[in-house]
Amino acid sequence: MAQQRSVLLVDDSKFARLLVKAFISSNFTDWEIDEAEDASKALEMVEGKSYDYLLLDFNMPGMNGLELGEQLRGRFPDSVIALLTANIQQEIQKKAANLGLEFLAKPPTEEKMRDFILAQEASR
Amino acid sequence: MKKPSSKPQKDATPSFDLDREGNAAELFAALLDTADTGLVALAPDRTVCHWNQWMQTRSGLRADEVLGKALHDIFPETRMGRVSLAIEDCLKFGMPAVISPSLNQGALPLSPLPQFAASFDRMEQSIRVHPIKTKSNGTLCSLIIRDVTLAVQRDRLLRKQAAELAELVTQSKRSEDRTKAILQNTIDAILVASDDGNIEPLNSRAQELCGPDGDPELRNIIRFLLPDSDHIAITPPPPNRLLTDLGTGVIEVLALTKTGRSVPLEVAISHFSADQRYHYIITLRDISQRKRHEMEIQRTMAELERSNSELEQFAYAASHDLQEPLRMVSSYTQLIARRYEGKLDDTADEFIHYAVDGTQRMQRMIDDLLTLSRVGRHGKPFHPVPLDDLFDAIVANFKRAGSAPEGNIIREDHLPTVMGDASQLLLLFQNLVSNGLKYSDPQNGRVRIFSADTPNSHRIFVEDNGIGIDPQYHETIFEIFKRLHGYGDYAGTGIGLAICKKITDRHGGILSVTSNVGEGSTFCVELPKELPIVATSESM
Amino acid sequence: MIDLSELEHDTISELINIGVGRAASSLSEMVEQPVELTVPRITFVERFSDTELAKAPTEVVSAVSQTFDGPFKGEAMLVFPEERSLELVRSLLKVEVPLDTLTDLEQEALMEVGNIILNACLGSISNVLGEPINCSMPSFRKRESRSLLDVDQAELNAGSMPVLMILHVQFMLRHNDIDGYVLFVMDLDSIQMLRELVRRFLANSLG
Repeated sequence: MAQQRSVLLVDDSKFARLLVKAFISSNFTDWEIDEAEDASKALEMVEGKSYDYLLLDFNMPGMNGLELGEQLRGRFPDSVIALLTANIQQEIQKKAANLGLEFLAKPPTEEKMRDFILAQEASR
Repeated sequence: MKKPSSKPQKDATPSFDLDREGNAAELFAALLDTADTGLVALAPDRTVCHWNQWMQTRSGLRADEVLGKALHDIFPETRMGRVSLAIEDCLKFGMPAVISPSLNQGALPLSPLPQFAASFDRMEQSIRVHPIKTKSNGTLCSLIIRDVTLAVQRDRLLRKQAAELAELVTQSKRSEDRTKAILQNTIDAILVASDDGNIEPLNSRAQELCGPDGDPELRNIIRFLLPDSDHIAITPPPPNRLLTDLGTGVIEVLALTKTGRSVPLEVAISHFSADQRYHYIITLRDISQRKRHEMEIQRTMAELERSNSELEQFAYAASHDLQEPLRMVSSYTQLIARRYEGKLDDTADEFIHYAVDGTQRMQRMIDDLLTLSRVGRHGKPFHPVPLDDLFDAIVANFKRAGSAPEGNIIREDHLPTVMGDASQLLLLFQNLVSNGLKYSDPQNGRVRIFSADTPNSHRIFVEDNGIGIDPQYHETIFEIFKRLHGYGDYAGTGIGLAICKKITDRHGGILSVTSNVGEGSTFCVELPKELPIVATSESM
Repeated sequence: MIDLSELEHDTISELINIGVGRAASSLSEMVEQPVELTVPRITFVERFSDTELAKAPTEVVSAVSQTFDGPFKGEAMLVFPEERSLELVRSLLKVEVPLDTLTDLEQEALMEVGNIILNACLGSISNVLGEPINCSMPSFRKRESRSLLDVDQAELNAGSMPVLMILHVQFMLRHNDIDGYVLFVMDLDSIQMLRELVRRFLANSLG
């Protein structure tokens, strides 16, 4: 937890962003967490700043999380990009894996978020 | 025996007391085991704590083999499956679940009853997962499993039959559409009439003719034409609407459309029986075209007849009126010949001879022309004519005239009897025989007469062994005044064969010749066995 | 009357979406074809006559209903116009010969679909809010949409009007999309309790 990281949360649900943000900051207090409510806003934000973690909701109006993840993967080969969804269909999981995206099942819980980040940090 | 009603209390004391220890458990266990459904209870730790008799029978696993084990240890395939997830939700969140046979085929590996074994590998199951809240043990989970294999089988059967029915409907619809299309696109109007007098147009053409814009009289005409409709009052149609005599078999009627057009129709009627009733199919064919052609032909025929008869009139008049002055010339030249022959010089004798010869030839030509014109003008009605008798008369005539040697007219076999005008037929064959003899060597000339029948006609052949006719002239020899030879070579006016042709024509027959130069000629008279209607005596 | 803040509304939406996402993945595994489920909007109305379903009052609808009881109670139901329900079941079952009404087996399949979705929604709420909910077995009903809810006249007179939370759900299947509704019928006390739980949860989570 020595390293300070930057995180971008992309989710159309404000509640979901709040929840995830709360879970992360309670364990990683000084991390910088930005939010975007859809893909186009997210793409705008990554123009000026690069992030270590990009957490994307799957179901969003406009571009979905998979499509956005594909674009971001190309720009940020070293970042952790994860797809958050309650829909744990094999097909979507497989697509995410093929694009080099991580997969996080909704609903997010504090333990789930913490374990996920710790595992990612350890492998860096 | 009826018990006295005064002591019900004592009798009502239950002999089986559910409150007594052990009794309730015994009863419930027995009830669970006699149930016709599978009953499984799972403890909060997911292990089986009840497995009823039904489950034992259908799974083949005794209770003591499964108690204390988790479902996925008993049936490994159910791990991660719908049943396991439902059990998890039930135990964790108290959620009940419906597990339907359609969405989960054979959710648990249970055997079907023997009667279904042929078509089902597994029992079809409808499962309910219930949370059971207990005071002492927390939330348990119950599985209630019903065997719905029969229902699934019925459902399959129902769908199969529905599919077959749908297919049947499609097929019959298709064939009906086809029949309708054929009917609609038929040029003829088709109607069906039942014996109660109801007439129904079957296609658009029929609708046109018999519908509201058609001819209101037409239905009445059809009813009039139908047999067996005597229990319906029918007024005979106006006579001008029936174009043909009903006796002839061809029925033609006239329809008048609202637009004022008159359409001649040929009516054909056939019948069929259905629903124990007689129905008639009436076909109406528009024969306007045919009628127009018939009229055209009739007009042409009338025109031809008129010009023919004018010609005959002219020929008769000419030949008749020429006879009188000719007879005078002829008489006087013969008188000069008798008086002055040998009394003047040789040149005068020669001139007189030419004059006599010329008048005689002219006499014969005029006679023949008269004969020719009479063939048309003075024809007699047709009667049966035995050709054997006819040729007897011809031979007798030749004998009397001494114009033919004995035995040079040969008849083979029996000749038929034909329909015709006896005197004209005599003239016809006498001319042909005479021709045959004329163009033959007078000593060895021989004419052979024989016949051959075809199915529809009599053929009478007159064959000679004479000089023959070049094929290029076969067409023209039947024309009037056509002679192939000079006057000196063979006697004749050039009208004989024209007369023969005209007589044959009048009898509806064909006169033809087969011949080659030096090989003799065969004339063939072909007369029809049935006389065509147009060749009646009055039309010629 | 139903004064939910935007965040509270959004929270309920997200909980429901998590639920239907789960339901979609269970369904797609069961029918071995991709099934997507989304809830594009959630609305709260006080009268059934304000719902979209009430616009065609004589349309026959199929409904799978489960009652629930806990800190908040009421009835949850998945509702489709009958034709849509036929379409849905037949797409899921890949039935070759469609009949013009649901057969018993198809009806049970629809019940299971409803059960999965309703359980997922209720389970998601219950799970996240940390409050257990008791659910009944699903039941099936088919009737005209105007008589979908058994509203007791006496209750109406007593002023305990139900509040409807209406989810417009969209099934996206391989060949077609099918629209239906999930209705949560609760009394005013229950909806207040739901809001209270959401507030408490937000306060706890976000510190």
